[in-house]
Amino acid sequence: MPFTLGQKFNENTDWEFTVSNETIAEMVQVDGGITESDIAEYCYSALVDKRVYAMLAESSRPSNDGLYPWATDYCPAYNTNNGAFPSRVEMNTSVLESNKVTCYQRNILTYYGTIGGKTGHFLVMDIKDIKKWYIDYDTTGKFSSLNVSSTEGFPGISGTIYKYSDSEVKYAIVKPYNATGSPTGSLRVLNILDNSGNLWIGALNPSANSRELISNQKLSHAAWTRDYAAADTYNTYYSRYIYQGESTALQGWCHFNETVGDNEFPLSPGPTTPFYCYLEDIDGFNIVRVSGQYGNSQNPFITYCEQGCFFKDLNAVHTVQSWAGFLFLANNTLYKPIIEGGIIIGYTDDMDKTSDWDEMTNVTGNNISPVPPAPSAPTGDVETDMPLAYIGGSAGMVSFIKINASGLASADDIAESISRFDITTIGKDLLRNFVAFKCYAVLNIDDSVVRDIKVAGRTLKDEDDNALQGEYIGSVAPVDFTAGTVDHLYNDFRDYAPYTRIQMYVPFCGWFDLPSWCMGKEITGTMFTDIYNGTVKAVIYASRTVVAEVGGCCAFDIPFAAESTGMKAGAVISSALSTIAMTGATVAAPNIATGIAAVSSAANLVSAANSNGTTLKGVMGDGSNISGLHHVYIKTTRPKAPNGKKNIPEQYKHDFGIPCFKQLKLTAGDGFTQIGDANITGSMTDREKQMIIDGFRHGLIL
Amino acid sequence: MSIKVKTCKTTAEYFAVTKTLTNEVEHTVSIVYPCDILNPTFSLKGGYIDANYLTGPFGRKYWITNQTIDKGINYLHCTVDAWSSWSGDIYGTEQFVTRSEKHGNPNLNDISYPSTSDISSQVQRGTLLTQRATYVIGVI
Repeated sequence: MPFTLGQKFNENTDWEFTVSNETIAEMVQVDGGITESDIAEYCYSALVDKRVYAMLAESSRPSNDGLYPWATDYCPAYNTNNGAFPSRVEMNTSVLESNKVTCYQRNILTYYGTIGGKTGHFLVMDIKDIKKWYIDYDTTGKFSSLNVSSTEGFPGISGTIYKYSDSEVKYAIVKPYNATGSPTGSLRVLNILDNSGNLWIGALNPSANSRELISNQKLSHAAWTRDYAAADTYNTYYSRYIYQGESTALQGWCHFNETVGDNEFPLSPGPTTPFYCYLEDIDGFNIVRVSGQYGNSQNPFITYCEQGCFFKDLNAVHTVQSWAGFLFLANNTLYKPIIEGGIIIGYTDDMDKTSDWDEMTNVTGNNISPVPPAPSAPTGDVETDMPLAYIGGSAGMVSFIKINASGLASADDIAESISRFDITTIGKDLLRNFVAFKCYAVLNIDDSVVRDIKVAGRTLKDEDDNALQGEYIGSVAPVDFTAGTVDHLYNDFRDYAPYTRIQMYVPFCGWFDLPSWCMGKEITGTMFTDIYNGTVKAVIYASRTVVAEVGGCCAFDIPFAAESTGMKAGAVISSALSTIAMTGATVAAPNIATGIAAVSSAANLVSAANSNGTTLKGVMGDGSNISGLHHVYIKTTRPKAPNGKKNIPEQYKHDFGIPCFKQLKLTAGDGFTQIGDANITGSMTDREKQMIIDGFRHGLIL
Repeated sequence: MSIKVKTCKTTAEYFAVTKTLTNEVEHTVSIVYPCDILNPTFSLKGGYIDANYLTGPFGRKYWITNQTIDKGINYLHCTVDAWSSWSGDIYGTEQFVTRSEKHGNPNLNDISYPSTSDISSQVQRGTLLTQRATYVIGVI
């Protein structure tokens, strides 16, 4: 599907996860710049875990090399995982070549070459989590080049290398333009990536050394996570990691427990020719300089190392490739588009905000928003975490103890134990110390400790004099949930109120309406259970904005005797609870409603058994919602299209237009244009002027 | 008074400001007086001509609304096409456009577009919030 500049991304349709020559090729188009066809062959992307990853293919690679002429070049997992798209493409890197599109991490594509008559570096980027792509190209000479030869320390590399550096994006690049001659034999590509403090080294072996086979070069799996890397057995993959910082330990299959500082670590076994990479400690702490050499030639493959080559930032990326030095340093503002000399202006630099498309213009001065923005969410009410409820030691020293779990006391055990205490001996009725006995449908215990159950300072014990144990609850935490995203259907006003109604159901809280601007946004929520009374409060978010807050109750009280009943009541409760099958660790939610009825019966039994006027504590009514649905749901009700087709017919737009309400400069080709009271000046007669005004009231076709 | 005009054909819509003209033929015609420049009549010798549009006179463009033929004279009854005649005074002006084919905002409510009372409903299921109950006692 063609992608035009300014188009908003629909996560579910605009990006597809399947790799093929057509499905995920996405295009960026700029007036006079990159054209659809230019980019269609190059750019691949995929949506993984709500992040857009991009990669590249080089279309100009010879087709007779027996390889896929597509993104597989730079995506080894695609070849090794039965065609599945790699899960962490974002860390993949490659070498910037002339007339190739290159992908860097963080969803940035660069292109160097000539497109549409413009020669330069093109940068396409997706601002993190905003899903908008920008393209820019350097006209200010920030990209510069210099010529190198093998004798300067670039084995097999001669010609022009490119570098770029400014305060936002820093990297220096050496391209393997004419990779002939050495290195010979097996060749390693070494990537060192710094991801949150870990440096990664990955290596792969292409099978030979030729121009074509450099195209065959697979980038390493260094993008994989550390755990994956350790478990990976792919025989051409040797992923290593080292630490950076004070610990400065180098760890890995080939090099253990070394400190940074003029170290060499041959990555073997593998290539017959050893490869050495040097990490030189610059400041004795966390700045490391990378250099290396190939084989025994003593030719350091990287001698070109400027300030930006130093590994300074924890979020930086540093890649070194033996056949093509590649140093890449990107700081946290990597996402910021290059504005100077650019084509697009007006986007926000704030990564937490969405650019206002109405304010974005290209160099022609025209607004590039293809579709005016839909109703936007109100500002404010930014998501805040619900507090934990700390229980232990507070609220009048009430201890909440989870029972009936494996290894813990059951209600039956407790009743039996209490019945063994002789009231006349201990001088009090321990049942009075029970202030709650509840069944919760949702209780996310955040902190707890298992210990002996004590009531009024007395440890409850079983008939063998073993202490009964329960899980003393320290705190409970909110429960996060996801309802999904309500997708646009019509992509027009009918997706909003009063035409479309969005309702949400949250267990124990019921159905409620969501506002129209939730359309297209991911609906999530957080539910918090108040352990004291069983009420729940759910805060609903559309993206990061609070959209609703609803309440309900997810628990019910289980009645117990509040007056002195001795063994008699305890036995009755025990019997009743046994009847409703509560001896297990927990009771399945679908049975909770049944449990309510059973416990109600148990209460009656207790009441009937206590002839000395036992009263019951506990209200059953609040827990009635428990018998409802236990999933979160979203229901979207929309009017059906009158003609059975989703889109408003083009003929309708031509005959009647659609609401506009903008001040525009009238231009031929605008089509149907209706103006309430056109302001016409000229030397026409008054009647003609009136005819034109009347024409616009009807609508003229420009 | 004789003037030169061009008769032609157009298939453009009546409300089109820019019209494509074909089959242009130049004629020398006489103005029939009294002449209303918004609804003029021109006469020329001959019979019916295959045209529905006329340009040239008075710096304007006209629809040929009718032709009447009498004694070998064809009378072309015309009506001014105001928006095409003065398109130069229309294009380039800034106007507040209420409806537009190309620049409309599809998210603005369009009461003109019919909506059925027949609805469709879609339910999406999200997280399962609870599967098991937890039993808790509170003691002091």
